Amino acid sequence: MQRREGARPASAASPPRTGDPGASERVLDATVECVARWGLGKTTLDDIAREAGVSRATVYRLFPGGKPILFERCGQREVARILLELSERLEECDTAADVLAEAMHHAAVVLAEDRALTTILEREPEVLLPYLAFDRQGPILAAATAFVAPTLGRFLPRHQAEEAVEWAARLVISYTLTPSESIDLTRPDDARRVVDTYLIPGLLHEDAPLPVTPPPC
Amino acid sequence: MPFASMERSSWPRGSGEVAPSVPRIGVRECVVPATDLVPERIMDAVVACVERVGLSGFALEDVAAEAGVGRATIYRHFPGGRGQLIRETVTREVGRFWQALAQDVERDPTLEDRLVHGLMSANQRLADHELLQRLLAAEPQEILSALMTSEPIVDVLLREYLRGLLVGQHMAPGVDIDEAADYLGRMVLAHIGSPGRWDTGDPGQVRRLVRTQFLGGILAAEGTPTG
Repeated sequence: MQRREGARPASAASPPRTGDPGASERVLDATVECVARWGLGKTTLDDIAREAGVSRATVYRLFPGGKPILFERCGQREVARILLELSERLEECDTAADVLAEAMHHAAVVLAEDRALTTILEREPEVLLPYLAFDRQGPILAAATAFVAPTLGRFLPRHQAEEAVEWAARLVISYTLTPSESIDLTRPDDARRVVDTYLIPGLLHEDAPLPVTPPPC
Repeated sequence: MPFASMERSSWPRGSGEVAPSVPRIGVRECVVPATDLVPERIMDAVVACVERVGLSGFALEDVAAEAGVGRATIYRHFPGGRGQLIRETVTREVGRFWQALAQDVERDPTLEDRLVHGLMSANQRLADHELLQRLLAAEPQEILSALMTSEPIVDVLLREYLRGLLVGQHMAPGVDIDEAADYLGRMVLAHIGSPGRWDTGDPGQVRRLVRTQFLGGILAAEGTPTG
């Protein structure tokens, strides 16, 4: 998770207007950096303000909800950043199976290498639960679908592509949070095997709608 | 790693029956040895207290009064105090949830039927669980942390249960039964309380989900029931 200040225009987070248009992004960058270092529980608004080079009052003005809102925005922005990167990578894939395998593998690698996420999973996995448990996963699944389904839609009818992406996203979350003995999606061969063993047969099942163009897999 | 956590926990409490080789979320009712009635009563009291004041609100004195025992008795059975009391009570309730679910699907003729019925039933039970829903809204961190304690046990028992159902199925060539059971367990857990794009109240949708995503790669094509 190397972020360069100002590398990306403020888009996903729609920050409130201020005299310093980069401030929101800087505060979010600082939050990610602090969480990577100390975890969610030990990061304070003072840490974030110092890291971002703004005052505590500015942090409050930009994110009136304080820490919970900041963390939520960071999470959303990180998810969007990962998915955007991912969807760009997938442009080069030639088959539905390639798209799914590459998407699952790359997402797993990015999550495994994410410093903030790693810190949280090591020290305080339980604080992630309110963001991931039960129906809270909905926004993540929806975001994954929105970013990745169009690429997969080159090979499959749209709603089948959307189903497949949500399916893959659930598996990435599951294998990331609860490692398996035999499947490690950060290994390209494992991701491929999951796709070939479970996803493609499911997508080709007679109860799945027929692809417009036969998926070359 | 899940096995290490299992040893610390107890589900069902005190019966020592969480051995992964035996899928206990099977047919029988929650096994409560007669000698362990006191801890059961104490945990019942925890549920009653949580109903009234929430997870972070109750004190050990409330539980003691509700159960009609002294504080010392609580500590004798739950040396870890409040935290252990909450974790074990939540774990017991989770166990009951899965046992009830196993009973719901017990008479379903095929694996597919069980999965369809089980998914629908699980989501319904979850939605109908007033106390859980209330806690998820009011104290998500507390209740989810407590629920997480039981997750390794759920993972193992669910996997063993599903593995038992896979035995004798006409599997697709090259599919490893243990890995398939693990995969199925993940799919089941991923679709309980987290519907995403699926309407888990619609039998047709759930059946299509199960046929394609759950079993499409696991069962050999000719072994798949055609309805």
